[in-house]
Amino acid sequence: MNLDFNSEKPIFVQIADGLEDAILTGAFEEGSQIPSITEISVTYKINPATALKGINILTDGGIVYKKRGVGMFVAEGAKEKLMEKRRNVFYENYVKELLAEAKRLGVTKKELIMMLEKGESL
Amino acid sequence: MSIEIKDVSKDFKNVRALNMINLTFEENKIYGLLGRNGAGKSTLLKIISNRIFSTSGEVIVDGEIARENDKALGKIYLMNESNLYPPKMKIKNIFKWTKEFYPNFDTEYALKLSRAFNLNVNKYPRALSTGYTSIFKIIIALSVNTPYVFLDEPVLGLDANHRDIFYKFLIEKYAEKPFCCVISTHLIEEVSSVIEDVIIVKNGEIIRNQTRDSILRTGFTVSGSAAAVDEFIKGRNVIGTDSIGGLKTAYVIGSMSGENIPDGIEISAMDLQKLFVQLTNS
Amino acid sequence: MKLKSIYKYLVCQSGKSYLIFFGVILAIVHIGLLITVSLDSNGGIGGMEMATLTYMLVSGVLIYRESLMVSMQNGISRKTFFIGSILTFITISIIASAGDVVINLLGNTYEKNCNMVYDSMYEQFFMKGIYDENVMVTPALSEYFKIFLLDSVMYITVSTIGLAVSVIYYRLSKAMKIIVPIAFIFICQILSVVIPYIDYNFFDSKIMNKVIPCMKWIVESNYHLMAVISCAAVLFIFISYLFIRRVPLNDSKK
Repeated sequence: MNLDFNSEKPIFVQIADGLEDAILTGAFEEGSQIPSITEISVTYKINPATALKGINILTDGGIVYKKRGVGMFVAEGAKEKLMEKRRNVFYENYVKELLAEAKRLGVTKKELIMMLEKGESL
Repeated sequence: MSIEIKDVSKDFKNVRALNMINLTFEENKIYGLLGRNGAGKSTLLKIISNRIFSTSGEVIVDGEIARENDKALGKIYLMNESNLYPPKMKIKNIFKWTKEFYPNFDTEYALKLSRAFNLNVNKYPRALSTGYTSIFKIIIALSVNTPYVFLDEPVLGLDANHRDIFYKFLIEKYAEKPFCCVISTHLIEEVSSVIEDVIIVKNGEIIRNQTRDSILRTGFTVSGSAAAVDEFIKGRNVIGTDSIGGLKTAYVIGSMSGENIPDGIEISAMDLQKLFVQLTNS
Repeated sequence: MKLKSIYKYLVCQSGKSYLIFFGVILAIVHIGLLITVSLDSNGGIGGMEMATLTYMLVSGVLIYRESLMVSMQNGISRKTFFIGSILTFITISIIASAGDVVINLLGNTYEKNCNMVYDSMYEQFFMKGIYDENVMVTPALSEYFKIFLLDSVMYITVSTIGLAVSVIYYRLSKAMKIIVPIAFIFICQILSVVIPYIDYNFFDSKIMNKVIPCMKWIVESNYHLMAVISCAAVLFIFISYLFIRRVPLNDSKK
């Protein structure tokens, strides 16, 4: 996970995204432990409050949970939830825009499906 | 639980070094106290820690006036460029006496840091290089465990490796047991991700006092070809530009919310150091 | 408690250097003895308290600067530092007096048993006339207690003088640092030479006639001396406090 301090994206969001990516790719398996706030903040030299903010996004979304005295763990079904979440994002950010653009260009649904198949075969 | 600076002013002969400073340092937060040379940061820190007296105004620590007050002063530790330790005392003995004055001083931790930095505790402070003098003082500041710790230019003279170690120890300590830490420094970019709140001092006055995130959100950076950037920044509040050849970078106050990014332009976050330079140039 | 800490620190620092001093004095007494015995002559040493007195004065001056800085670094108020200093003076003075008694006992023992004249300041002041240099006088054991008291008070006073000098000096500007010592010497000269001279020639020694009996009374008995010196100590303590209260830590680099 690399943090870009110059990006428009706030650090805590980058941390949340980075952890989510790791969970999705299986780097952190469900039920396994993820790095602690201390570890993350020390490694990237950021304020622990920022790291905490990032992890809270995952905790709020039910992706990770805290085991008192031990640490933070990936929740069961986290991968599913993340997929679902990313699907929604995909829909909001890409699909809706695609449909709006298609409408502007006068592309019909049939033509759209043909384009999709064309693209898929590449 | 906090330190309140109320209407503090300081005059030296006929120069007003600090003018009606009003600030609060809350417990368990890391602050960045930024300002140009001579802005008044060190003066303020010396007043807080009772080394010099304010001309007017008060410093209140957890509800008590700090001036000449042992109890309040026992909660504060200042590390600055002064070396106030006796010349004929070895570092390990200085640790011993510091523990006498500050009962929460963690000698084990101090020795651990000394090993990490390669500091020989059998040496005399006078015999240390500039960098190692800073290291020696940092170690004490990190081991003293007072609720409020003030670091005035902590990394003066430290090489990149040692700076890295310092920040890591600071963050690790803060993560495990939070305390109020105020870092006064010129190395703004380095410290930018560590601090939560930014306080900017200019000519003895506070010109900015807000969270780091909000101060960064005051603007953004635009870069691209000179032509594209110039077009984009028309009518915007630009606080500075950099150019190299045909490439231009502009620093803009304002937000980009909802706008489309034109081609040929890259938008990135506002740079704290650049913002600072712009704000403090007279 | 901060007072206890700074007191402990000051006593340790002062004590260490006093021990070294004490060792040196012991050595000197024994060297004197050696010389007298080996040369088989009528030698003598005395007035060792002067050395201790000087030491205490210098100590008072030196302690101030360094320890004030240590106090500032460790969150100790000037008031607490001041009180700690006074307590330290009292402690070290008592120790030094005890040390003096030991030295005097030693010296007078040698005096009895070898051919060496040894006189403490007390003996010189209160037990001998000016012309009794080679007379051996040995104080009774009860006298030693008086010596102890007198010395303690003397050292405390001298330490406070040292502190007051240091404190005032620290607050002076560079120019004043040169002017004040010169003015001080000047004033001493006026007091001890010029005034008596004018008095003798113009006022028929009226002033001196009043002053000299006072001085006689003071040195008449060691208790009188102690009383006067104690008053002086209180005065210097007061002066020192006035100056320490507002002292800013000026030095940045050291």
